[in-house]
Amino acid sequence: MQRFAKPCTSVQFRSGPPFFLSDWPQTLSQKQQPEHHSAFRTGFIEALGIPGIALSGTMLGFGAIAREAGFDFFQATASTLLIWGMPGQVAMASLYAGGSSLFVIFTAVALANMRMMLMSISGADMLGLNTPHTPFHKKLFFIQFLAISGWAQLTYREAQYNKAELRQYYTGFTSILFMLALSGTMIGFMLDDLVPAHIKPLIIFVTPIYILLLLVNAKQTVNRWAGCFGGIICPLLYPVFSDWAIFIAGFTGASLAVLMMKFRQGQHKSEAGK
Amino acid sequence: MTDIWLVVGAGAFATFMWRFAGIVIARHVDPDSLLMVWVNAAAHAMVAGVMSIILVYPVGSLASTELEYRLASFAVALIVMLIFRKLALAIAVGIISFIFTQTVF
Repeated sequence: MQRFAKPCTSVQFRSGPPFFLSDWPQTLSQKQQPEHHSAFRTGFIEALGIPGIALSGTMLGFGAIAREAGFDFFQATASTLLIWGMPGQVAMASLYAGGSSLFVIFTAVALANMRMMLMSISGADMLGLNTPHTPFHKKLFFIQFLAISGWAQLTYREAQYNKAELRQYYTGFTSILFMLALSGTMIGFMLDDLVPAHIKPLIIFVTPIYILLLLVNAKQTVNRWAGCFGGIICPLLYPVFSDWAIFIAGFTGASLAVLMMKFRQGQHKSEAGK
Repeated sequence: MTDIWLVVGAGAFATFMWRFAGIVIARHVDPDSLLMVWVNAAAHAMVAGVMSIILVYPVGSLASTELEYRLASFAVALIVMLIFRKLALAIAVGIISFIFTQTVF
């Protein structure tokens, strides 16, 4: 199996995997553990690059929005800590600022973050969490840190690692990403003027193009089609259906992509039968 | 006006319930089934949808830029990605294109 990154010597994790992975039921032998460390380190380092810069920049924006909406420092930080889903966080702060009721805010956040359910099912499968030996609280702990950036990165790296290594990669990647996002929220709250106004659009622009380009590289063709359909359908429906457009685009995009996959499989079978 | 801590709690619960449901459902879905293929595809479509909404209908400072320039910069990045298959290069070209549109036009 070809690895994406060579072992890096600049950062060392002598103590091994994090504590919550130490008694993982499928722990590999001592001989295989350097691969684990390598995956953890690679995730750690990759998160410090474009994903970390883009996300912390985006969270700077959320910190500023939360302050404008009337949140205090701890409430803004707790939003990122507990929700960990940017679109829902922005919807929450914006609706609160507009005087919406608690029910409206709850519904809007639920709609904006509905994708978390499908991402959790998909993420649990990619990370190999669906084994009877894995305690429920560990699955929940892992998935609580799953958001768009981490999930998209998983789909991008899935082909390069086995499931145990991918968990290590994910742990390294999301732990850094989470810390950067929290720091971004805090700094954005305290120092809204830190980033010059003409730089802010650029920072926010990086996140969507980065995630969309990751999806273009999805391992499975059917997922690439689904991403294309979802990316085209959603903005077309958004003016009419608002946040429901995300759900409709997901359902329609996936169904069209799966239908196309089945159609092509049928074609291949009939060609093979001739 | 509603207490902000209640708002944060409601937002956290509104997100956590989906993650919790995902974990519970994931146990009952065969990883090799057509349903899992669909679920993965739907997650891709939804994430792409959310990201395209940020590009097309942005809020905040990104809204101060022109739609045509945002889409053109993304299109350039996408073309570079499809031709060279280099993620870092594609993002770099996309960012440079965006800076170019913001400074020149």
